[in-house]
Amino acid sequence: MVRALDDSGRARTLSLLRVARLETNWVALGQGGDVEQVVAAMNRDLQALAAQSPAQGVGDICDAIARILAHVSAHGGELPQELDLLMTMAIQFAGRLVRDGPAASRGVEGFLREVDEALRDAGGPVERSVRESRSRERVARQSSRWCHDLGAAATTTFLGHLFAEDTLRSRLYQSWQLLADEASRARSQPASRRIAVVRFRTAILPVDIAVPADWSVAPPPEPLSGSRAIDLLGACVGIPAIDVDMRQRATRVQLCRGGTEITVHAASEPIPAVGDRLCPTSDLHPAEVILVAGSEVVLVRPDRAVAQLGRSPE
Amino acid sequence: MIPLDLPRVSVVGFGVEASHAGDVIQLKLTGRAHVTTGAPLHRVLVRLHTEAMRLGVRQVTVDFRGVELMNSACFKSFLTWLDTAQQASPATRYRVHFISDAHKQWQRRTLAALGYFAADLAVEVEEV
Repeated sequence: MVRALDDSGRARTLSLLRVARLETNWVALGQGGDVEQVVAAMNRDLQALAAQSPAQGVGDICDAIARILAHVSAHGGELPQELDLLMTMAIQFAGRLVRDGPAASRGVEGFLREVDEALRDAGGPVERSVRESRSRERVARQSSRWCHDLGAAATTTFLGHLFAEDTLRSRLYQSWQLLADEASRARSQPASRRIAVVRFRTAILPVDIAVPADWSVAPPPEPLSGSRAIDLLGACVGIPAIDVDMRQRATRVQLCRGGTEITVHAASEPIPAVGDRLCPTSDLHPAEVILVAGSEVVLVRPDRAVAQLGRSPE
Repeated sequence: MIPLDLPRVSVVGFGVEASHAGDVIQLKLTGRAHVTTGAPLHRVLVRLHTEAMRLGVRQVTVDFRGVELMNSACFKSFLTWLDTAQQASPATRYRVHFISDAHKQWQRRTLAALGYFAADLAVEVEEV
């Protein structure tokens, strides 16, 4: 009785065929095949294999193979013996991963280190371009960007709450909490890296800031200085260090990370406060003010953060 | 002692010496393993696993020091052998002990990589 393959079975069969073709082409190359043609054919199979095989570690092994191929291509088909044997092993490894799944992925990391060292000795490309970039890095980058956007949006919402009327203020505060929580979850990192809410005392307002939980930030005994506030802003939007010279009060700093741009500068004039709400002057948009510290005001203009919030990770 | 029964390899420029003592089988390879060596070496390694199981040995030692060159087809036979050995039940698995020539870098690196390839086996590489 012949049973139709389900989608995963079909994908696995196709992947195994690609592995077999990689092996055939590699043998052909060793027997004097056209380097350019064979390498191009192998690269096509590698791309497809890395993209379509869900098996853990396949993308990493494909990357190792691609880097060895790049070395072959750059050296007109010449290859040190150890790289030849490592390539043979890598192709077999890929086949086993496709065939046996995650159980076969033990040893992949160690094997890749050997490939790295062999390539380094041979003067070939050691950057794990595909390995880091194909599926894993793409996911990490999207995740990181999404976290950053969420963090930036949370900051913006928090800023809005500072200047809002009473009714709206409470709702914005709740929104900020939701966004900060979401940013924390989206980080997909261990709990120690999650965002914590820390309350800081500034000259006028107590301020809640979302900072990564593994940062050791103690609330200062004195109201925050402007530079300290900028550091906190960095923590808030996930930027680990901000280089700013606060001695120049008109300093403007462009912060760019993950596609989000934020302008920070020290205001030349203090912003008056009425009660616990700030009253920015007419030339400042309320949402640009983040923290008030003494006579210095640190401004943030989340240029694209909010617009990016509507974009979900791919 | 039960005798070890492995096929002979009669290829000019390549040799395999096999021995069995106690619970260890040892293979000593010499020469250049290339195209003409592929099939006979493959037969040896397929049989090696069968013999290791039959004799119930705890270790198989492969001495690579005398190998000057090995092509990928021959090397693939080692991968197949390790793959097969890995699939044995944990109770019957044997250790694999490679001996390499410290002056031959290709041996050191590829044998170390074999250890990662056969991560479910106890593989050790000794440089001499």
